[in-house]
Amino acid sequence: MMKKILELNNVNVSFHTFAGEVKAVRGVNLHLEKGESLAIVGESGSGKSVTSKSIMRLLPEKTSEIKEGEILFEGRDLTKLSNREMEKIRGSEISMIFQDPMTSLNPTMTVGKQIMEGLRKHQNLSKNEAKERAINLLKLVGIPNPELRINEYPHQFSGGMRQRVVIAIALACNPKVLIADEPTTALDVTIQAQILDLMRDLQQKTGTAIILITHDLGVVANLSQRVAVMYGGTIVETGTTDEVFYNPKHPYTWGLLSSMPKLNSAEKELMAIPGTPPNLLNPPKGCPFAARCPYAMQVCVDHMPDVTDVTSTHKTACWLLDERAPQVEPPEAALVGGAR
Amino acid sequence: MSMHEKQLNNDLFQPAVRSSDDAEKITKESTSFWQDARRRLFENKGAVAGLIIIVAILLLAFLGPLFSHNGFDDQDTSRTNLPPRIPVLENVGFLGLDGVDIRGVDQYKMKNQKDNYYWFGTDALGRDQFVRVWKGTQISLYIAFLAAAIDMIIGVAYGAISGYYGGKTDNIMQRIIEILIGIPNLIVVILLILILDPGIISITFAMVITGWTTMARIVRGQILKLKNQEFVLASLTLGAKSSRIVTKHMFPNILGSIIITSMFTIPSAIFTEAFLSFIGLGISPPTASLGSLVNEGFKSLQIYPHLVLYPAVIISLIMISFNLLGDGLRDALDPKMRK
Amino acid sequence: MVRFVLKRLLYMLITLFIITSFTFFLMKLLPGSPFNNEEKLTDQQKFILNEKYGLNDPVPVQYLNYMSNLVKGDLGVSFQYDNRPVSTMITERIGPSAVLGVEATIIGTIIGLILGIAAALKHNTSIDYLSSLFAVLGISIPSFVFAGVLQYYVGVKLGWLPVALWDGPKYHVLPALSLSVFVIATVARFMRTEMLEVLGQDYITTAKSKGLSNLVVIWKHTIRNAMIPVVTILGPLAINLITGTLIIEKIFAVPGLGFQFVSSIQLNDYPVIMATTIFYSVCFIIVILIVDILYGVIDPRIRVAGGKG
Repeated sequence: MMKKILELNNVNVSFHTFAGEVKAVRGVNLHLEKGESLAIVGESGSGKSVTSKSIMRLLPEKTSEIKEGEILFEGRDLTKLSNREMEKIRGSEISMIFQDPMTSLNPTMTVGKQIMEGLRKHQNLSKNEAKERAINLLKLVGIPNPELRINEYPHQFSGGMRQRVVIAIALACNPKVLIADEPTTALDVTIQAQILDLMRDLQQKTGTAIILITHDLGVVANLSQRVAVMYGGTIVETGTTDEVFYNPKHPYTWGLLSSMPKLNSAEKELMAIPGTPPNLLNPPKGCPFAARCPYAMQVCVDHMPDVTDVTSTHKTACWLLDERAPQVEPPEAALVGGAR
Repeated sequence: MSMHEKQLNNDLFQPAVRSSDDAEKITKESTSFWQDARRRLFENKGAVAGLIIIVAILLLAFLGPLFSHNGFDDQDTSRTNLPPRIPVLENVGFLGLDGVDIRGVDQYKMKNQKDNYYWFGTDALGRDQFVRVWKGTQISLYIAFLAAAIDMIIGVAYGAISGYYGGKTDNIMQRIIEILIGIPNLIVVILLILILDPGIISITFAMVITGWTTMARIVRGQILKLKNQEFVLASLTLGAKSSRIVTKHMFPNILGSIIITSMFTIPSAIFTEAFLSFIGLGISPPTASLGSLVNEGFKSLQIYPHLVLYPAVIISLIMISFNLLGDGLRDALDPKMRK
Repeated sequence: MVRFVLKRLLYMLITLFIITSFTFFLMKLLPGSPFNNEEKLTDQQKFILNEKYGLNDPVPVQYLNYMSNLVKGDLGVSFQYDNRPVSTMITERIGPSAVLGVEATIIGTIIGLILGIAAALKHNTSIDYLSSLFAVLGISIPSFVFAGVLQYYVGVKLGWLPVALWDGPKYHVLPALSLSVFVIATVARFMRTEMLEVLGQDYITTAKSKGLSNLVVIWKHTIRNAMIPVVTILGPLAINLITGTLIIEKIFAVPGLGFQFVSSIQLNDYPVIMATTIFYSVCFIIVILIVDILYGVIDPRIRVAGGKG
């Protein structure tokens, strides 16, 4: 068994809005092992970004609150740290890559300065040492002529190149955990593949554990060993990538897999999941997916399903796994590659 | 799990009965843009306060003079420089509305005006300040609304032509505007008034001659933005005529910006008018505007502060209200235009 | 960048040419000659005077003379003050106005920035509401009202500071304060909006995720970026300061250019009016030019791209 570097236990996050309390994350349990790559998959508003931001404690202080639960990083509960202590962890132990490279760099600061900032803060490097390291980092993420480009501004870089810079910033202090929040969503498809390749490469080189937040199952298959599927602020299914792809147990996962285009599929049409995610201002008391689930039972509407262990690594929260429930088979379209 | 099992019976594990459109139910009532804007405007306390004050001042400006039997230029040397005195309120000492001047002399008693009440006092020629202030408000507002209206007409036409036709037309029209904007409008206004002689029309004209450029630029910007938007392209592909595109698609979308810009033209016109009066280029007596009243009042600020007080307060209130209302409208109509 | 500056300079010259010509012809439209009001003069004397000032020449000739004198810095002589050269009158009077303008700009910008930053950092708290209220009042209430209130209460009633005139630092306080209110309000309002905009940007989250302290994030990433667009309001502020000095100098009897300008309007001293308007326009145009260039220099997005136009 590998060592757990990050562990989320029953984490609840709420936003206070004018309309009331929005329970964006409800009782999330997750863990990340050293050097592994975990993907959190879900549609917009499922709580995946909020989960990742709460690990970094980057949620707006005034309007949001980690109401319950603990986030253990190497045994320390991040939710209990002071701001000063948290600053020491951010960027050096845990760092983050954001979705849109066009907006996540400061337009009025040179790329080099933005990389050096974190280095100088966490590693007490001199200006020259930091600069040297920044050039090396740019080289590492595959930016040609790093000595020259270090003095350029973000708008002089293309989207893909900017995302490489963002990655360089995140990796500057050799963090133990890297959280990538939809790192390829805003990029062209060809660039997406390059960035994913780069991330896989870098993970092998540096041994950083990665949490990949995405709604794109293709990206997951590419990069991650384990997957957690989020829906309505809860985790509905987790398992190794193989388990989730080839033996999905939750109807929402079936839906996700069915809606993914497949090369070898005879299906002419992609399946869509009808309906919209639940309103988390007033979350349903039962399974959040019940309203859209074609297999929903009365119990799903009224009671939150418990987590069932399919295998020691594969867990699903669904009433269909209860012995009293009718046996249902996943739809044909949800089967990846046919093998089970 | 054990806890659940006690409570759950097998019936619950039957497929749930739901109507098919449950999942697609839209919970929020749909509102039109203007309904939504109105709601946002009325939620804005500042804007509502501004609106109420504007309405109140407009009413007083037109009804106020009727409360007094004096005309705005009725002079009477037996009642000069009386401080304000208002029935009932005269008994509330700290308000200073009891007809006693700043040296502690009851001027009404001294000048044998015991039975008269001049709410805002009288000026050096014995004219009823209350009537003069509201008449002045009428004139100031008239100039401001006239200037805003003319600005709007010229600006919208110019901006729309420039933006809609684009190309060379736009290029030339924009160069002209760029040069005009470089000229400080204050200077143009002063020079024009010098040769035109101060009056309502000349002051308005002087303000409009440089003022329309703001509106023209904003309208052009909006039209340029809209021109390339998909719904306009879609309408074009469906064979709509220019006139239809302009009136049905563009105009409703730029109406918000036009209203907001006009809303800010009004206070700036009121200020310009007051400023001109202040440097001696305002409306000539006996006609009064708020600006000229303030200017006259300043001459005796230290002895008769009431003469400057009321017009200054009203001019400030008008400007604050229009700015608040303008801010509110901007937030309500175009949350992105916050700058 | 060079092309950008040259283009701006060209516009500036065109604008100046238009302003001076416009001023000249407007003045020519004024009825009669400046000496018509002098009843003591005989027709003979008037003719001699007109001849002396070149007022009997055809208008185009006068125009050319005027323009060539202007280029040489000769702005003519005053009709009211014993034929004193207008250029001397301007240079003598510019001092107090410039001092007043600079003082108001400095006070206004510093206080305005602080208010705007505080309001944005304490968004939706009482500090924010107070600062915004102050901004609306400062933008709305005309400067003569502020000046009047300050003069009456601080000067007359309390007697803490001199009511008028210009005789040492004590005399600067009230006029400079009255003039700075609008600057404070405008800068505060603008800075608040810009700060809120920047605070919502993704790169602020990036900066925080690097582990930078709050102070560093606010100072190096937020305030610096929010201040760049503030440069653009310097143009409108310059206009307002000119307008403001006319009013404030008159109220506080400051012997500056504005006071002289207002008097010359009341005395119909046309050469002074013309020269002062041209002088103001030049100042304004130079400010606009500096703002444009400055904006290009401090914003790398424009600097590297080589000008926005």
